[in-house]
Order: sequence, then structure tokens, then C-alpha cells
Amino acid sequence: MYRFWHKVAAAGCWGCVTMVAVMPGCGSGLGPVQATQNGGTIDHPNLPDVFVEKAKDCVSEYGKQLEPGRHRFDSTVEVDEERVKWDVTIDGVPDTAPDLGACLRIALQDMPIAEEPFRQGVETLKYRRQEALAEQRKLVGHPVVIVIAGATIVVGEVMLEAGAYTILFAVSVELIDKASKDVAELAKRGFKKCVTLYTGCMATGLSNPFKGNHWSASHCNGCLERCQLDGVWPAEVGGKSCIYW
Amino acid sequence: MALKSYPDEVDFTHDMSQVTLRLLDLTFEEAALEYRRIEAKYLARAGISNDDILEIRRRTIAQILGAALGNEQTYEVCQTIWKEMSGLGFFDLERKYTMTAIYARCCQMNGEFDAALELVDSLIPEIAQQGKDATPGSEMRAHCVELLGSYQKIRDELKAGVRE
Repeated sequence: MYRFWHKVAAAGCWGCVTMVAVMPGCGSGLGPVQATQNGGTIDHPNLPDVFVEKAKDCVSEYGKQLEPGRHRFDSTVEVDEERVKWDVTIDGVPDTAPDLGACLRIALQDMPIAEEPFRQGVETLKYRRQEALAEQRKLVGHPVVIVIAGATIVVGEVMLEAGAYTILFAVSVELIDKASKDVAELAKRGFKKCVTLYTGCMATGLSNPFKGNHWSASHCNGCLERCQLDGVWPAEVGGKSCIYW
Repeated sequence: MALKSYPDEVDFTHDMSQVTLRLLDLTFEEAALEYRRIEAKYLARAGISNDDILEIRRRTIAQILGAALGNEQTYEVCQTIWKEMSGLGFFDLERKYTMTAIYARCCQMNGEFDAALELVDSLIPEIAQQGKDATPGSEMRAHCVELLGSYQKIRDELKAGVRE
């Protein structure tokens, strides 16, 4: 996972050595990757360019971890109404391609979500919540748990091609309701959430090991530890911001 | 102190972070083995100083404790890690307070409320005092203020018998 190195290398001249090791054309990567999207409609929007570019970089750099041929990856991103991404999963990445999987996970973690589908998703959740409350009132005296399904707000696909490799990368973004039954589930997944946010953090300048809270650690690591302690990603650790998005 | 050279420090941090990034895909045993493998790799480097050896061990066991909490390990596992960690001591007070709290969470997770409460209760006055003594606006002051809040929350949960 050399995305980290890209960031560090940009900050210091010693990184030139590292850059040489990962530059396209040095024989280690797949080289140029072509991306094609068939979306562009209201129901089926194109995925953001910045995300597609990152996904292309991932395939270019780590695509050789796959067998040549056709592959399909199905991913899901769970986001709440405060735009915090709680979970990123990718199915279909073989065990032989851990760096590719990690790189794509970071790309998904960083992917911006368009305003309009997000707003519509929030409205859908509000409507479902009102309906659920109305149902609950009918059952006064009977304990019930309000269950509100998440709202899928973005579904998109991008075809990534390089030489003998073709990858269909499907992305689904789901707006989840923290206030309903998901709370218990999310609490259980607290660690998952912390590591997912750490993954996003490590793709930013906060991953610089010289900005850590102690010797030989990135600031992201300090944020991860505090997240484990408090169950939420901290705003600050040692007075330094952990908000990287 | 060879390891404290710029590239070695970055290498070590990078290697450790690569395991942390994969924690969701690894079992606790696998993660611990990976961290230990990196520890052994850096301890084997020529010309390493005693200070560096100590810090590599401290950093490794800290990562393992975090993985144990995340992967819901038993009290016995957490206790074994804590004994090793306590034996190595802490780089500074921030490390001591943060790691103690993570261990307290491990105890809480396993229903060992009294063991956790003893640790947390004993450190709350110390953290408060350190915060008062630290220079206003300093990193240490900020750590103490932040951690005091975390400790108080943990203490309240322990007293209420809340098991995470």
C-alpha cells in the first residue's frame, strides 16, 4: 500500500527514492488504465471523477495482484446523515490482491457524495421514521423497536481496463439511520468504524509519522486509539485535529 | 540511535500501519503475529541502541493491545499483554494514560469492572493535576483535558456495570 508513501514522499526530498520505486512504467504496475462509465442519468449517476481517478491509480499500481481476465467487485459504503462513513466493504477481491483491496477501500472512503441524492436520502429516512413512529403509536403499551431500513442513495459502476485485465467495479452508497435499530449494531461495529476512519485518515497528510503524538506514530494512530477509547472518532487529539475529511 | 534516523523511523511506522490497516481482515492471532514479525525485523537491525529496542517493544505491544480490544479478546489475553506493557514502562505520560485506558476498556469488555475501576480511579487525580500543571495551550494540557473526559466516562460506565 504505497499511497501512504506518495503523501510522505511529497513532503520530503528523500521521498524521491520512494517515488522511483512506484512510478508507472518502472515495470511493477499495470500501466495506464482506461475507465468507462455508462451512467449519467438521475437513477444511475456517474461516479465522481476524483474517485474514478483514484480507482484507476489503484488498478494501475496493484492490478497485477489479480489473475489476467475479467473481475467484478461489488462495494457498499454506509454513510449517516452527518456524512460520516461507517463502513466500507468490497466483495470479490481475491486474497492474492490485499494491496488492491486496501487501495480501493481508501478510494471509497474518500469518495465525495453528491448533494442531491444525499438530500433525497435524508428525506426518505425522515419519511420512514415518521411512518415508524405512527406505527408505534398504534401499539401503545406494547414495547416495540422501531426498525428503519437504510436508503440507497447512489448506485454506480465503472469499468476499469488495462491490457488483459478488465474490472467491473460496482459501488452502492447507503444512507443509514443511526437513531433506529442500527445503534446497537453500530456499537458492536465500533472497532470496524474506527479502523475504517483510520484507513481514510492514512490517505491524508495526517499519516505523516512526524506529526504523531509520540515517537514513530502517525497522528492517525493517535486518533484511532482515542476512537477505541471513546467509541467515536475524536475531533482532536492533543489539540490537533483528527478531522481529515 | 540508528532507528531514530529519519528513514528508519518512517519505515517502522509504515510497516506497523500496514498491519493496522488490515485489522478488519485479520484475526487477533494473525495481527499479533504480524506485529511481532515487524518487531523482530527492526530489533534485528545492526547498530540498534537500547533506547530504540525499548521503544520498538513498547510500540509493538501497544498495537497488540489495541488489536486485542478491537477483536474482543478474553481478560486473560488482555492481562498478559498489560503485564508485558507495564514491565516495559511508558515513553511519556500521554502513553501511560492512553494505554491504561485502553486496558481498562479491555477489562470492562470482559466484565472485570473492579480491576478496571482501580486503575481508572487512581489515575483521574493524576491526570487532572498534570493538566493543571501543564503549560496553557500545550499539547500535554490538551491530552490531559481530553483524556480526563474519557476517564470520567469510563469510570461512570464501570460504576454502573456497563459492559461494552
